[in-house]
Amino acid sequence: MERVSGTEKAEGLIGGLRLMIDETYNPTDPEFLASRALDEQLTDEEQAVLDRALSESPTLCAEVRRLRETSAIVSRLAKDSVEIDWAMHAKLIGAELCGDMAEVHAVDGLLDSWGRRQVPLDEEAFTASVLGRIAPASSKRGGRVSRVIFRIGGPLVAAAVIALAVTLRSVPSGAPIVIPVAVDAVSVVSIGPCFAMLEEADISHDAPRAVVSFSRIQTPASASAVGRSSFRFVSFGVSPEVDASDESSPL
Amino acid sequence: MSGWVDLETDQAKTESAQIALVTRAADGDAEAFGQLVRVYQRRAVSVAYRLLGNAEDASDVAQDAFVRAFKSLDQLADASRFGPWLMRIVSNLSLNYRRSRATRSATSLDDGVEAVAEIRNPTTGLKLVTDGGEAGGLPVELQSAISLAMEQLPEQQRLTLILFSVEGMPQKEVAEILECTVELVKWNVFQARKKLKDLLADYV
Repeated sequence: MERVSGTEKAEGLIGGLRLMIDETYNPTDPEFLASRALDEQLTDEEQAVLDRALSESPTLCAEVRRLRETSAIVSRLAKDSVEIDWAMHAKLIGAELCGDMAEVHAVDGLLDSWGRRQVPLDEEAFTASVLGRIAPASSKRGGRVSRVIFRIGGPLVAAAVIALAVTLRSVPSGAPIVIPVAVDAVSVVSIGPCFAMLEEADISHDAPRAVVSFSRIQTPASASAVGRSSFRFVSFGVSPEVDASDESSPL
Repeated sequence: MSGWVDLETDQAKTESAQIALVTRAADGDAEAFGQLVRVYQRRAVSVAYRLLGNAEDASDVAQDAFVRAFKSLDQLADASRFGPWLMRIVSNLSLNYRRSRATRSATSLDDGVEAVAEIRNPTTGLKLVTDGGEAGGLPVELQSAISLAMEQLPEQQRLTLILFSVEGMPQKEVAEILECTVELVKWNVFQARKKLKDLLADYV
């Protein structure tokens, strides 16, 4: 068992861990054994040592009795409900009147009240208050994800559209165009009227790379500015095996 | 025998459910964190109350602890240790609050002592208290003595005693919260009891 020098009043080490200690650590101190006995932690050997010490020292017996009573007081602090032991209360009053010190010791029972004072807590209100306070942080996390999506997905789609417009001039009608892009979140991006030929893009994630596929579907007059064709995102699949050197890819 | 198995199974289920809640909360799921709050709020407020002696302060500090825990969940390495980790935050915030409060004014550990109406037994002169209209039987003098005795304990010993003897946490968990060895927990419990025994010599 480790020992810490009593001269070290500030920080010491037991088992390599930081601790504050201001008394001499003595695992064989009979009162320490008695304290541990209250918590039912003694080995048979330690219990024998304590029993022997108690049998040899009435002073120690008295100290241990007081230690036990003190421990009982402290343990009673944990009780939640306020309960008054009226029988014990009557005993106390009687003891005070007759001066019977033995009965005065029964005051221990009354100490229950000290620890039984209820900690007032409206649990629903408490929970609601905490949730109200973390709401900004919570939405901030979600917002951060959304901002990342649009910060990355928006430019990527715009770049894809521009690249598509350029590429379409050299791609045979009906052939799919594959544009590898990298995204890291989920989003749905709508393309505005300036790119009327593109209706919608679904951006998925869960992979470092993805593929946006376009195909020519019709040729409205409004698409003349980009080659007299209109296109639609037909797929946007996760495809880690995308060959970045694919010649059909303009990116 | 099967009862033990069932108990262990239930504990395992509870633990895995809590890990799932912590994981979801770490991803920003406020509802999951709300469930964790419901599980731990009473103990958090209770520990803060034992350290601060004031219910209102205890509630405020416990709320701060939950908010801080939510914001720092990504620093929690082991989701299964959320409880001790939270209690460490509660303890640290409570002790910090005590120190800052001590600089403002000397305060009683026990606001109940001040809040209750005081009456005296006309024959014995023994002070009695009433709480919320219900007569009680605890001498105010003794209440104050216990409170003052607890106040005089070194911080580490008081916290150890509160977590172990009052809140009934296992010594291993107390050691985890206080970041010390179990042996030191035992020693501090003993030292705290010993000091209280001397400080309350007139009552025990």
